[in-house]
Amino acid sequence: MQKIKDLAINDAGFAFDPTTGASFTLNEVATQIISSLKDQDDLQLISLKLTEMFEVDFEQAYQDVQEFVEQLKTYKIYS
Amino acid sequence: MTIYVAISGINASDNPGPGVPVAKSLLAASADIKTIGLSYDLHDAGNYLDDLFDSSFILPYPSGGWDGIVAKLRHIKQTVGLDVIIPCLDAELPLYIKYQDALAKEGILTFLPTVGQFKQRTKENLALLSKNLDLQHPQTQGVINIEQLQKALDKIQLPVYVKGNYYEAFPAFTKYEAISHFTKIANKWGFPVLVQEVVTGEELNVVGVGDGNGATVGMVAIKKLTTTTLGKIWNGVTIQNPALLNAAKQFVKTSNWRGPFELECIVDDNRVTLIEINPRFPAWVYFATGIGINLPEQIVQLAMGKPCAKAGDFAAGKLYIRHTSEQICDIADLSLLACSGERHGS
Repeated sequence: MQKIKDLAINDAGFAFDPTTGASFTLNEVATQIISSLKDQDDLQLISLKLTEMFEVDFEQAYQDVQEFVEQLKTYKIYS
Repeated sequence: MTIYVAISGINASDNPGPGVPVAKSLLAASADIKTIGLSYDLHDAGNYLDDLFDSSFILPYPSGGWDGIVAKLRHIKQTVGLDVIIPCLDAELPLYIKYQDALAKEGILTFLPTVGQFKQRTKENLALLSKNLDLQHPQTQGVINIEQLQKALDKIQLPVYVKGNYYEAFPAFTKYEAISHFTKIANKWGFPVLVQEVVTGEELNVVGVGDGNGATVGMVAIKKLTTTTLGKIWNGVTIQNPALLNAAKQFVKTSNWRGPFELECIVDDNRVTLIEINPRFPAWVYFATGIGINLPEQIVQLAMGKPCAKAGDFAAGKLYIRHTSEQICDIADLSLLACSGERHGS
């Protein structure tokens, strides 16, 4: 959790991990998910936010959020 | 008051020495500093960089012993002046460390680790030092023939790193690759060749200065983003990794480290594995200077017994871009160095 809090993200979706020097680019959806995770939103609330921002139903959004969070765990950005 | 500072390691090839960036840092620190290049090779770029070095001198090789070197240093002191030396090459450091007190008596100052501190961080002693610092250290074995290499591979298990005792490291994924690297490294750097366990994580580095009383007066941590085939940095970024910075502070505190240092570590979450400690500045030391932490300036202050303020903090996310450059000279410049062993900038 600490690592995602430290992650610096700019408006263009460029993310920089100040503890390892790793950087990566995020699309609009990924940027929104990470911002919500930084705010300690749970996966359901994040999915709900995505349905309001993008043309996606809750079920699909929830599945996408789950998959993305798993990726973040693989990269040890979120635990 | 003019301070004459001599700096070695002024080669600037694909495996650059720290001397040129150290000179750049000192010139950025004070207009009172005059820099002198100490070289072992006529072709070292620093010999011809008149905007960075006021004079340049060819020294006899360290393998020839101390007498030849000290005679040349006395000559430099008499002819152009010499107050401080910052030695930057691994091969010459044992001599400068051994004779630092004798040099000081002649008015030539250094700020170097003690013999004991220097030995603590050698490759043979690094496992013990890592243990004392509560850090990890990869399983490492020195080998001098193929039979020993095979035994080391059986023990450590592939993949491994095959490393020279001083320079170069190559990953080996098969026995045949390991033998090939072993032969190449042995021919170039001699024995022993080291076989080292591969550790997972981010390779991160710290450069810093210890005051000899357990305090770190300045340090900067980085991640190399792109490197040459020898692992030398092309691009890098500053980082704030608490576990890594704490490891560096602990190293300085525990050893009472005196002088410059570079820590090479692999960091995986909070687990820090100590790969190497270099008892000198790395060639990327100007990165620290560029973000406001002038470590070579601190070394000159400490060597001269002047007060040395602790450097401030640094920000993560500062980017380092190394690039090549060209310089055009005349063959007469090389001839002058070859015939007289010294060259003075215009």
